[in-house]
Amino acid sequence: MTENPLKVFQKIFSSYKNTTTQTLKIIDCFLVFQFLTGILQFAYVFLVGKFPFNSFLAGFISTVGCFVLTINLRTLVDPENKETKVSAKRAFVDFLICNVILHLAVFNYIG
Amino acid sequence: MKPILFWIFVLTLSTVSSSKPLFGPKTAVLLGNIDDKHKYSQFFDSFTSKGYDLNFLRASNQDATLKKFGEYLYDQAILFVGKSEEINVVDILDFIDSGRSVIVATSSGLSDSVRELAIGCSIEFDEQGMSVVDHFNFKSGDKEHTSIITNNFCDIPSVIGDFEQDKKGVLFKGIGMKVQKNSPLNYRILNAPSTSYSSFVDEKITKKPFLIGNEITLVAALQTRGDARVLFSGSIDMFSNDFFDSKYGNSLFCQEIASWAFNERGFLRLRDYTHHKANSMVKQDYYRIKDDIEFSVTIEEYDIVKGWVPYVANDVQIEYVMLSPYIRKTLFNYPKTGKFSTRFTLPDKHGTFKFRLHYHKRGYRFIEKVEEIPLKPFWHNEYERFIPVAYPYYLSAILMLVGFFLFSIIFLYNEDKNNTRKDK
Repeated sequence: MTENPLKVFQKIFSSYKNTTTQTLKIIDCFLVFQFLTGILQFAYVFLVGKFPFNSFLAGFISTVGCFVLTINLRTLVDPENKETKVSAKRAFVDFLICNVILHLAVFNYIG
Repeated sequence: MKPILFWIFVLTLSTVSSSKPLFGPKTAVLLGNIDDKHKYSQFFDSFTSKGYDLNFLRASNQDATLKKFGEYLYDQAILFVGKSEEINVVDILDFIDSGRSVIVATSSGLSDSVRELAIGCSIEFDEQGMSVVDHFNFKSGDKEHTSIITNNFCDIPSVIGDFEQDKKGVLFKGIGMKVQKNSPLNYRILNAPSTSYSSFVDEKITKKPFLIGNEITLVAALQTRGDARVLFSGSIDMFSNDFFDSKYGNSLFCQEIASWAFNERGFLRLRDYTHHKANSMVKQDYYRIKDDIEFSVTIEEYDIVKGWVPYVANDVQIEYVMLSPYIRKTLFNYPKTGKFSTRFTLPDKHGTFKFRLHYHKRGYRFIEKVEEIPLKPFWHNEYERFIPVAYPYYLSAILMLVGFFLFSIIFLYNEDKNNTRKDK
């Protein structure tokens, strides 16, 4: 019954490719981009030290915050999600407002 | 016209060349017996030659007042009361409290009022009638062994002055006293040799004497916080011509300690106290954390002949204090000008700080200067901006913003071909 792990991944990937909507794929792309930016900053802080600590916090929080908000958007617009009864438009407006507030805070704090 | 100019010239010349006592020349000399002044003429002449104006008064005389109509008539006083003459203690303590110096000499037969005066200066004389006796260090020919010779001086250069180089021993005949060893204001200038003791001369000793050896102080002083100096000697004879003419160092010793007592040495003053930021010359009421500060002050010492001369020392410290000192720095001395200065960075902590210069050196006038200079934190716009190290963080925040913008456009213009969630 055991299958080749590579085949498992291929199966997952092909199923993702076939069944996921394009909107969700775009969201996922954006998520990966935010995740990588966050990881890079974290590595950078280990490399040069935490001197402008407020700048680091602002930069890192901007990626984390964006990531969390985008995850929220993804759950709300996912057609598989039958529990939440919020329209995609409403979800996007929420996402928009939250992002504006987040970036206001981030640019105020970045120094 | 010409004679007037000539006299002005003579006057200025005389004031420049002659020595000048710091607080004025008027000196009261209170004696038990006015006729005794010839016995101490050498000592008194040393004052007259330095420009003091001595006024001889009888100590027990009611008219011998130091104050008239609320003003002091004298700038300093000498009290030579050997036998049981009464003096006005309250008057003299007031005189001392006003910052005026007093030299007190007494003998074994001292009166209660002199003892009271000494207690007012935290110096305690031994019982009336007692003498300091030493069977090893005494003047030859003295059968009672009460004229003792001591070499036990304090090591305060300012007090004993030139006598430091020429330690011949001092002849002393009189009563001992007790002074607390750790007292911050009292000095034990001359102590008895370790072989001496204090007792009645004509009585047999059955108990251990109250004061023995090094504990006995022969000459002590008090330096008050109000700049007065009070000198106490248990022996009036040590100032006498007989003792001055002996082969011992009485003459120089007595003159040196007397000139210290009358502020001819060790009297310091502050001048040009200032501090400012290292890059500006303006003195500020407050500074910011981590400011570089330059602090400087000039300290001068009074010299009776030369006037104010630069003070030379390497132990003057400045402190920056908020409850406890955050910074304590030794000031660098420029010996030619008497300027003391240093440079330091203020601490990274805001609050109500003080600059504190407390200079308490034994034998010198205390210098206490405290100035409140608060320390403020950075203003909002004083923080460093656009630090090169932080560029990646700026970049990431901008990327997030741009990404969000692009994502929003793509999200809005994207339409799923199938399986679209229906809006309600």
